[in-house]
Amino acid sequence: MNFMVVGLNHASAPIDIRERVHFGQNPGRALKELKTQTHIEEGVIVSTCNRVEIYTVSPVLAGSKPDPIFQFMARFHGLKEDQLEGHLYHYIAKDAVRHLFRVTSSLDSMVVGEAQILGQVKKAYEQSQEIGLAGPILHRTYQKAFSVAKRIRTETGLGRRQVSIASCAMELAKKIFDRLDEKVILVLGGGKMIHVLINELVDQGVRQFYLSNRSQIESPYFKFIPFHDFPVYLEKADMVFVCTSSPQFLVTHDLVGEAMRKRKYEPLFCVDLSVPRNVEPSIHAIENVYAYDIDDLKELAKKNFEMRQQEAKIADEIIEEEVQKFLNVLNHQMAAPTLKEIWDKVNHLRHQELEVLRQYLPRLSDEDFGYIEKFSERLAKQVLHDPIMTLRMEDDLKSSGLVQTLRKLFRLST
Amino acid sequence: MMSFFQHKILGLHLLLSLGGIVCWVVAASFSFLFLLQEHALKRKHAWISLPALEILDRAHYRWLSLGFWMFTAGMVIGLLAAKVQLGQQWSFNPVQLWTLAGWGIFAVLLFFRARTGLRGKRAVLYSLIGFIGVLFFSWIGVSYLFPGVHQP
Repeated sequence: MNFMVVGLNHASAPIDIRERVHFGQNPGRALKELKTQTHIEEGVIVSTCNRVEIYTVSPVLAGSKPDPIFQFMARFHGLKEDQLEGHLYHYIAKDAVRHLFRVTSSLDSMVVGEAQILGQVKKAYEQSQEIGLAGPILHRTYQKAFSVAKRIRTETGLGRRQVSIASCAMELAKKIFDRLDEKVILVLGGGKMIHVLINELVDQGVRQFYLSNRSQIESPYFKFIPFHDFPVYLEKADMVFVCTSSPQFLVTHDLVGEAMRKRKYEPLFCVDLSVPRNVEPSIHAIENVYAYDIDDLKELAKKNFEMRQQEAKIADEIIEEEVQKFLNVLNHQMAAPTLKEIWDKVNHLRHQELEVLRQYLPRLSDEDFGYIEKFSERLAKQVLHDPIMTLRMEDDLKSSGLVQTLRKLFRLST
Repeated sequence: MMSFFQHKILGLHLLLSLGGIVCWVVAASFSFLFLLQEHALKRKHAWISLPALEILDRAHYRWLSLGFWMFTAGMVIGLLAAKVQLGQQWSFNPVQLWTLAGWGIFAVLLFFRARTGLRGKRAVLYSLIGFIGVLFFSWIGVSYLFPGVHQP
């Protein structure tokens, strides 16, 4: 197959190169130019902030260097070719299929396992379809890539584990609460991490916040309370986030114990991001209280990261298996007509020879003749078995020329 | 010979009691999952992929109450039928006592949940104890350990 990818990503090129070759949200014009200038049959442009890649199918470029695509990329963005040199990679045939599968499954991402990339690749493919640049080969390859990504998502824990502190806190909250949107949040103090957490909670539909910090953000969801009043709100809160510079415990065992009694032991999730700690660690022992400090979250993030690495290995094995399967199917379809002709020819010869044999041995019983017939069939199958398997396992059947060779050897019409 | 009517009553008693027990088996499975998840959260490591505590707690509570009402109805029908048909009073045999004890734990549990919000690990533990009492003595006990009226 004449499938090729040329591109760069976060690992191969620095940000100033990536932003200069970025094709923007709608690479329609680029796709059209690509079609006319490089004689390609099919093409897709994937352009995200971490990656710019051009996938092509072209008989002209098959097996050749990817130079025309290099040149197109440089020319389109008004760059000199040497500016891109050393930053671009390219893969052909089997390697290109593997690369596409890895990209779509988020194994090639900066944050391995992140969820956006699948949608971005899908969108890129749809844009190419609209332009009319997505033909049968890309269609099959991309559909396969999407199903492989889905398989990896369901069979491995790649996307399930969170690796940032804030998302680890959210992961914990979701282990305690079913729905977050009706929960009440109490926030003591501020800081970047608290902001990330609040934003995430608002995204999840949370609408009731009691904040006790210096920032005065205008929002109907936020109610600002005087700092010394926070114990009153403790009993209302389902989640408490603390990050202040106080040198002592603010959320003490006694305060929480009292609040829990008042709230009839409804679960309480407490996150302490401050150093030194502001939440007395012993509250974790109170019934239905789940309290975590920054080290707990870091530990969880580290464990999740290690698990993702493990899962990535499993995912790569799945990809290897799927690439081989996919190519086998493609090869099989490409070689199928030729294989059928060979088999027909062999069968024809076999029957001819059987007829001759019958004339030589007229006293042979039907049963014995049946054995001979079976024997000849098995022999023919076994002789053809190895060539067929070689064809199926070939990485790049078209450029290997094996099909043509076979046709020549068996004297089939070309 | 039992009349058609008696047959129906006995069937209803069996159906409701067994239905109640089945609901409690489901509730007990949820409480077991709850304990696993709660244990992981309290130990702060060995994270496992289970539904949220809130979901498990709610599911446990719903199945428990459904089982409770079914079993109560079954028990009352059984008592009345025994009195009317066999002329027998509450006989205080171990099967009935232990079943009553398990049922009592559930009753107390449901009462306190409604009143003071008894929930979480403790509620689940009580429920498991009640369940073991009911399961062991009313189901296994009925058939093997204490043959009597409940012997099939």
